[in-house]
Amino acid sequence: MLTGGLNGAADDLRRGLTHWRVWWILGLQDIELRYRRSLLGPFWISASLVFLMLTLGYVYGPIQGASFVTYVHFLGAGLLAWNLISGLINEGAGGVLEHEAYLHNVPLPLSTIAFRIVLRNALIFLHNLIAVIVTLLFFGIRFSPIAALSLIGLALILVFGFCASIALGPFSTRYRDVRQVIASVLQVAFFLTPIIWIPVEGLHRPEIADLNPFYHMVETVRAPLRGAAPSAVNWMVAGATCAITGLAALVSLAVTRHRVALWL
Amino acid sequence: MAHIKLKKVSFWYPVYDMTGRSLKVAAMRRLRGGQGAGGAGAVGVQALANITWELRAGQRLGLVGRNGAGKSTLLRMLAGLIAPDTGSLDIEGRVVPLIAKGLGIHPELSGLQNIELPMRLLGATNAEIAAARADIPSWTGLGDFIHLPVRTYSDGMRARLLFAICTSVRGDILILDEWLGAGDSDFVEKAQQRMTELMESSQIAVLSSHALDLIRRLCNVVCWMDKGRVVMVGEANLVLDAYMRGIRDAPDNSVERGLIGDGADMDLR
Repeated sequence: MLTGGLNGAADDLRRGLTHWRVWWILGLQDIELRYRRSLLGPFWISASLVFLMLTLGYVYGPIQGASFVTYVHFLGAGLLAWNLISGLINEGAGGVLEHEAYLHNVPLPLSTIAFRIVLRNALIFLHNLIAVIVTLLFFGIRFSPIAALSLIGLALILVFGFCASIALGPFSTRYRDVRQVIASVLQVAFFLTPIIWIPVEGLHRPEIADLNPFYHMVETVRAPLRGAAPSAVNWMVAGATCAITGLAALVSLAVTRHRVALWL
Repeated sequence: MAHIKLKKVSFWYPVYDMTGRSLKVAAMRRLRGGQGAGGAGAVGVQALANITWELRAGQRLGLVGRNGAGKSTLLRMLAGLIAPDTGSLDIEGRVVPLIAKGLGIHPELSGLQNIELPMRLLGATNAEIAAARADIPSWTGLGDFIHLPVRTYSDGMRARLLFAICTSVRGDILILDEWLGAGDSDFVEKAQQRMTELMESSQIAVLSSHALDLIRRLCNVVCWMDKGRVVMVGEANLVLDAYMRGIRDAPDNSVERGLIGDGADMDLR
């Protein structure tokens, strides 16, 4: 059972990679079609992100006891990472349902669905990244070469998103209420994770950040953008989260690969 | 050489009611110590029962039977969408499953831009896609419309495009679910010719249809199914004659006699 399941998982992944053009076309189409509907395309999402960042900066900056620029810098980099993480999880959970018509008619590997979601979200992230960086440059913030480390953080989050999509997609297809649960959990996690609030030594409950895997993942992208390398703990927790999600994905593939078409 | 071997294949599919779809309900059931969560809220329906047959290169199988006989389930299994619960399925060769038309077509994109994805979904090679791009604009007679978004097409134009795209992929094993006829009369002839070419270029074809004259013309083996079982399988004319006698004698199946083929089979949804 187990080895059969693992072979099946490897086979799914292999087919997803062999037929890479399928998810490549689908993912690029997702972005291209947004450009077709409006000149700005996915930059509309970025525009709302920048708008949120400036508004929150205006309201919460003084409360956080930081200068507007410092706070917006922290917030912008954090929202950038959070939007990517929550987008990957939410869309990953809905991935199988989104591909219902395909799954009824052609043998579509689950990894193809995950690859498409990752590609789409990575491209949206790059749009947001450009918008946030331009905004921050406008406010006089300069980036050091360390900022490039955030690309490693990005890669880590994308791997996490790939695994989360395979782990959650079939499960939330079998049990239709799982998606709402995930959405609520993410909403709470947003406030639990230091994104709109800056953790200050001695002022907050340290375990909220330390035990929160999202914090460490966010930090792998945010810290470099703020001119510091992520801590070893950040890397380790983020890496471990990827590994655990990867295991969950393997189990999901082994158990659900042949049943998922029946749950649609 | 391509082959398909089914040995004692059975398949059940679950039908869930509303509560069977809910994690909350399933978890509560567990907590209250009721039946296992797997059994509750779901009913198993046997769609295929103990099916055994083999196809070799050169054989073209037609599946006949009334709605709910398991034809679509069997086609989906051959296409690799579902796996047998018991028994074994052995397929050798590249399978092209033509079960739905229009898969991967986006109405906002032009006809030409819409060629690649549907073909990739069916496993087409680069060469096949290049050939289709060259061939489809003229074959469909779409002319300059090929550069316009598919949403601007008439139904007939759309049908031609979808048909041309689906039939541009060549495989060893062709799986066809009830959709051969479509479009205006002038197109039907062209479509039939293309379909015949496609079938001749594949080693094995399996098709399901209510149009018995079509099956008689295209197939050399016929499998008559009823309630998930094989009633009879063998030489096409032999089985078809028996099948027609069978449905004539059973009045509740009379709809079949009119060769009504809407493809509204019991499927997996």
